[in-house]
Amino acid sequence: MSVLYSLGMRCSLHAFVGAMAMALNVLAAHADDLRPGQVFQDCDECPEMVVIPAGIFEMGTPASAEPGNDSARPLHTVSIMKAFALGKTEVTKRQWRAVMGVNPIGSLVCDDCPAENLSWNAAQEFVRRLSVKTGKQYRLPSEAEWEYACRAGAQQEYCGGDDVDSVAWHEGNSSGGAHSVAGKQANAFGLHDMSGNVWEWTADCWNNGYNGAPSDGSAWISGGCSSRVIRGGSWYYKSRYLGASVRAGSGVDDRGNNDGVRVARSLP
Amino acid sequence: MMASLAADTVREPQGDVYHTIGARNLQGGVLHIVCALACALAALAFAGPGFAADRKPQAGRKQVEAEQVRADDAGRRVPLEQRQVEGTERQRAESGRQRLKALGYELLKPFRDCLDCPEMVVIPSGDFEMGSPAGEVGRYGTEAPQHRVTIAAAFALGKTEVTQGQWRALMGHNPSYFSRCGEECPVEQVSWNDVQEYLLRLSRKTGQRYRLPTEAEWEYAARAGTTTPFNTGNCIDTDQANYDGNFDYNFCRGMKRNYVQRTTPVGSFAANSFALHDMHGNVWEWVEDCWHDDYVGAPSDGSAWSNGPCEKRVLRGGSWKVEPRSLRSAERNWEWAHDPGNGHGFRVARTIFW
Repeated sequence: MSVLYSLGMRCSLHAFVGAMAMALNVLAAHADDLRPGQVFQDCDECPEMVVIPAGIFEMGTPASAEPGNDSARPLHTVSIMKAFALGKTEVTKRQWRAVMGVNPIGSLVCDDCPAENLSWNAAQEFVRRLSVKTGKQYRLPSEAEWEYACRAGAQQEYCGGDDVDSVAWHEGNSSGGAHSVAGKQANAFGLHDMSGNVWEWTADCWNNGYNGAPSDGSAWISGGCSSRVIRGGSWYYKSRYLGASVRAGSGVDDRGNNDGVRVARSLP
Repeated sequence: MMASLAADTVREPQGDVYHTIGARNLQGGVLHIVCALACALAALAFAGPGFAADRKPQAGRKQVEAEQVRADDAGRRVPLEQRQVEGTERQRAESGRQRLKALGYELLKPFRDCLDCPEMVVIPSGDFEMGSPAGEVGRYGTEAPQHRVTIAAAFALGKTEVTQGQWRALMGHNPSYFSRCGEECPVEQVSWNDVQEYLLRLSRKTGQRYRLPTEAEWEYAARAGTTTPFNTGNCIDTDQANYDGNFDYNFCRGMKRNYVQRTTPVGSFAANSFALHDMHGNVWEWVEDCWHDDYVGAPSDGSAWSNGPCEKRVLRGGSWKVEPRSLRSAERNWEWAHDPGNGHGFRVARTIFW
């Protein structure tokens, strides 16, 4: 953990996030013996989970950034009140099969590639079954949790860095398909492929901009709920769409051929 | 005059398969259309060559050259069918057409990926001289040196500029200055950055790879085989494009003093031989490339020039308020990527082959 936070100590904001996280997580650590940064699995073929500390961050596009990316404005402060667990990687085809009992749609050549062609409803069904299987509270991350985990205390262009090729699969380097998860460098929270590889569904309803968005890290479940927010960009898209603040929305039954999922789990 | 080719060919998703529904609906000027189509076909190469379908790894990009349109000794473009060619070349061209057809496309046949999506035309692969020749009247240094560019694969380009209605359908608002012009008028006052968000939404909605055309693709498509200052020839007039008719180009026809002083509905003027409207005039069109002061070091493979001062992006085609000199196929302009400007619009491109 000290390694984690030493990475983030370069500016006072990072220090603040770190301090908040450690203070708030003393209780959680006692309750479940899960500490920020710890990796665990609830069953053999369940997704590997990383404990993400509570903390505060700035969500969206900074006002100082040049105009554009309007749906990610205004920049606003969000407090993630409670530590949670987030998938270390996107859900793989192997994991999908283990939980759902059927293969995901698409090629089965690469079992450790992310499950694709997933609608939001399909992703919801996956977390429901995973919860039943494990007895734990799996769910989709809120959009705020997703961006907080992506940034991991830093203000960088992509999740985990400014150099897209070292952290992400995108149109320019993917050779036309998804790649095995965790093939690129992790971010400071130990999460892989938050930018790129496949888009990742979140729990939030689509709203065109952050006016009225919750500030407590919970999912925004009012507004255009027939569309949900999806994040991170994919192997099919230009790197400019893989940015930490870039948002997109799709209908709950739409099955984008490079849409996947990363699960979250509430901690006791 | 109005000239609209097969405007109602709509492609709607049915599961993962796209079916072409609706029939050709030729509106107005049928004779003109037939003529344009004939000219177009005569001027064209055939499909993209030996390429893998979309989303498959690149293969065989080297074997492409054979399928391009070639110029004869007089500099005219000669369609493959009329050339003395080796059997293998003809076979490859045929194979390219079939690959396009297998994906459900035909050269120059318009299609839409959804009802609110821009109408697209499949543009054939080919090569051309990009930039203006030394003798072109009114040329700027930015258009030099003229250089050969190869567009290796067929791609799709918006038949018209993106309209206000199409923008509103995805973005939920209409930023246009001439909003009272109507839903069929081009959207304007959109920055290059704004356009990227539109393209993201359009790509996610359709599952297709929508993007801005590269500067080379834009000029190739604007010229549609021509080497003259305009795709209408050595001259252009206000019956052919929307611009400031108080000005003339190179003593062409004298001044008609026809200046509508605003944008006009897309497709109000005749299409070029690639079935594209308003490549000259109406609104400036954003392209993908970063701005460079001239073509020294420019790519020759039709890709975007993506290094350099990328806070400036290229605009092409002139607008309703410029003189005809600025409408030329080779004319280049720039704006800050974040600046919605005044009279800046765009048309979309779509990759067909990965």
